[in-house]
Order: sequence, then C-alpha cells, then structure tokens
Amino acid sequence: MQTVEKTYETLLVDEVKPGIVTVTLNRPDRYNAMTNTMFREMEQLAWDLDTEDELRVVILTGADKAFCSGYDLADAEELPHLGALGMLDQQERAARALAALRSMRVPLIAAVNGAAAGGGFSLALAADIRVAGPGAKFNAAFVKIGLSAGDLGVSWLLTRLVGPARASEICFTGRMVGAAEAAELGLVNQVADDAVAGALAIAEQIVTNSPGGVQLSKRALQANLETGSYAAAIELENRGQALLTRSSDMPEALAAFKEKRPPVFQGD
Amino acid sequence: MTIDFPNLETLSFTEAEPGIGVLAINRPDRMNSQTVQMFHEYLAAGRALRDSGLRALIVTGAGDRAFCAGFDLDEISVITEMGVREFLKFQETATGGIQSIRHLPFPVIAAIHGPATGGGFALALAADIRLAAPTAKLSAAFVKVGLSMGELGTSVNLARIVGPARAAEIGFTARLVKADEAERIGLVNRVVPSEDLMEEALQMCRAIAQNSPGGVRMSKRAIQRNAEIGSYEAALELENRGQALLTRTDDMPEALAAFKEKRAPQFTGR
Repeated sequence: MQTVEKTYETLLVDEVKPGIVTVTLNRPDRYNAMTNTMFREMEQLAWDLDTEDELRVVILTGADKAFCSGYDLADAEELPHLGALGMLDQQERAARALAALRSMRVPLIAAVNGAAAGGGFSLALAADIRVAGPGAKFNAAFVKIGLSAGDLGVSWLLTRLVGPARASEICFTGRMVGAAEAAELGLVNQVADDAVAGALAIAEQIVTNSPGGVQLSKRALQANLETGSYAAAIELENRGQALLTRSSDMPEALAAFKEKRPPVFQGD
Repeated sequence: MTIDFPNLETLSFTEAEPGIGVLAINRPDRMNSQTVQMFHEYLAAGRALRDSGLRALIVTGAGDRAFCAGFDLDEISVITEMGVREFLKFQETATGGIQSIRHLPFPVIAAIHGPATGGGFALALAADIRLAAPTAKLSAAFVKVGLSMGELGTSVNLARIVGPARAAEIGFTARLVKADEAERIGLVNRVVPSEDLMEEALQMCRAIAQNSPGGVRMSKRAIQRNAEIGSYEAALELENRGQALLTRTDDMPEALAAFKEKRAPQFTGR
C-alpha cells in the first residue's frame, strides 16, 4: 500500500495486517496534542488512504500514554489574537481534518489508549467504533478554557451516541469520564486490556466480510443519521442493497455458504 | 494574489482581475464534455482554490459553443464496465469534485452561454448564481441514458431552485429548457446578451467584492447550511453565532466609519 510508505511529522502509519492500517498520533511529549501540521497531515492522509482499494479498516490511536490531549495549548495562546475570521479559518482547518477521517470509505476504529480531551475527544467521536484501554478517559474540556462544546462535531456526535441528557452533563461540567463509565454510557463499544489489540480483534472480523457490504453499511449508517425521514432512509437502503446484488461478492458469499467454505471476496 | 493552481488538462484557471477567478471547462472541441479525468480535476481545482482568498469565481465553458455537455458519450461506456465498488469510488470522486466547487468559501457564478446538460447541468446548479446568454440550453438528460436525475446533487439542487413540480417535469421528460424559460422559472438569475455575458458576470463579482469578505462568506454558508438544517430554531442559532462573530471583526467598524465619513470602506477581511 503506497500511502503507508510516506512519512509524516506528527503521525505514524503502518499496515499491521493485510488491509488493516494503524494511524498513531505521534507527539508523545505533548500528549499527542493537535497542531496545524497535524491537521494538515491528517486530512492528506485520509485523502490518500481513501484511494487505496486494498484498505479495509483504519485504527486510530495515540503514541505512549495519551490518546490525544486536544489542541496544543502552547499554540492556543495565539488563538485570541488571530482575529475573528482568522479563528474561523483555524476552526475550519481542524474540522476539515476530522471530517476527512470520518468520511473515509472504510471503518475507522479509535483505540483510545489514554486521555482523549477537547479536540482529542472530538477525534475519538469521529470514529465509527471506539475501543477503550483501562486508562482511557474522556472530557469535553472546552468550557474550561472559555469555549463551548460546539467543537469539531461534539455537539452532533456525542448527543447521538449517549443522548441529549448525558451529553449535556458531560459538556456543561467538563468532567472526566473514565473507561468503565464510558462503556456503560455506550460512549465506547468496549473496554479492552489493550486498546489497539481490542480494535484489531474487531478489525479482523470486519475484513472477513465483503468490502462493498461494509462500505455501504458505513455510508448508510452515517447518511441516515442525517436523513430527514424514515421513508427517505429506506429509499437509500433499498438502492444500496439492489446495487450490491450486482457485485460478484454476493453470489460468492452464497456459493461459499453452500459449499461450506469461507468466501473469497473480490470487492468489485 | 498568487494562487498555486495545478496544471490541469481539462480545466483552465485565470485570475481575471484581482480577487476574481475564472474557471473554464476546457474541451471545446468536445463541447466541453466531461471525462473521468475532468471529475478528478474538479476536485483538484476546488482544493487548490479553497484557501486562495478569491472573492468570487466564475465557472464557464471554453469556446463559444457549449457550457458543458455532460459526460462524453465516447467515454461513458467505461462507467458501465466498472465493478460496483469501483463505480462508487468514481461516483464519489465526481460528487466530491462538484461539492468542492459548491462549497468554496466565496460565491461561485456560472456563466452559461450554450448547452449545460447532464453533468454539466449539475455543475451549473452547484453554483450560487447562474447567468445565461440567450443561447443557453439546460437539460437533465440522465433518464435518456438509463440513469436517474439522482446525480451529482441534481435532485437536491434543482428541486430547491425551481420547486418539486418543475424539477419533476424537467427530470422525468429530460426536455431542453431554453434561456427565456430558465429565467422565468428562476433556474437562471438573469439572461443577458451573449456578447455581454462575461462582462455581466465580472460586474457581479465586482459588486460582491466591494462587500466585506467575512460577511459574504458567512452569508453563503448560511444560505447553504440553513437549506439543510432541520428547524427554524436551529437555523436562527447558526445565524446568531455568525452575526455575533462578525461584530468582532475589523470590517464592521470600518464599514460604519466609512458610512459616517461618506467614503468607500476599506475591508481587510480581518
């Protein structure tokens, strides 16, 4: 996979198993805090990964102890001096990176190995699936620095994941949510002894399924969160299912089932 | 202004005047029809221009015959030969390309002097404003080639611009809509004489560029996003935040001072 060969200043990218790529935020001395370089690299990497037809799952994690401590406060001091529209540019630069990661064709699993705070919390929420390590902790720290939790998709994603009342509590208090509570709330799918190993176990199950089926499942889940009616959501589903019956993977799956062998998907 | 624009084969870009760009579909010998490469290049163009600081962009077709005649029929068979996942990848590239132009942070004006059909129609609809010459002809030709008008945003944009009943008629019959009808139903903002089309488009860009960059940018975003938002309340919340933010810029006090001093404002976009 060509994309994996490139090097980045703030990210480590590795194909750990065929079709499974890990992206590690790599500023451990700053608890993997986000910088403009990181936002640019994230967006470019997401674009590049999305061209890779062999890619099936991306796992996102942090180097060393933290997942991501949010926007680097060393840079945050400059934010009030940017000017109102300069700040809007800054905000859009960050939002672009998270949107590019979230909208990749393949599932994105966040392996939350440690603290996910502020923008790091937003980043974890942008994934399709979250696996927490025992040391994972989450907070919407925004209100602690004079900003709101309307940041990088938190107000949209958190509400949908845990409901409006829990989202309100987490956002208005800015308190820490530990791994066990996060699992109870459904904020993470599971707590594993090792977040990356847990994410990898899920990824390995995903890659046994048809690439087209997984892709259109992801697209349907995301798009139908935003679709205005049940009928419109079903229309979108119907088109996808009808389309997938035209791919060679569905007959292959049925043949494999009859012949009691694992299917070999082409993803075409 | 130096804009780092990539060297593209099917599109050309010029900064016609400071802050005003012209993006031309550049296959005049093929009626500016679209190819797989062109859809990739829309995306490259959109990405190159998004941080350019332009105040407005005109999208037009090179040559005097066509705006954009849709997918090149010599090449269209490639899409029927693609596998399902391969096709979806291409389709997402195509929609991503159109979206990248639609979502530029400054106004996009389509100057339509000839046929805008199929994917060319979709491109014209992705602009904020459409100006046409009397020779403009628009059609959603998709059903003629076995596809639906659910293509490149046409079902969304056309229904919003002309209403669901006119969109249904235009989409289901695939008939040509000529300039005068297009103007009457609001599909184009205005029809102007052919020889004046580019100058009228430039005039409109100049009028836009006289206003504050932040105000225009947030106006465009508000129009686009509030067409998609689920409630009036949520739309007002988005509006309120934008206005409050803009009162914190240098340009609003400058506008008020200029008004009092009876001079033209000098906007900095800060």
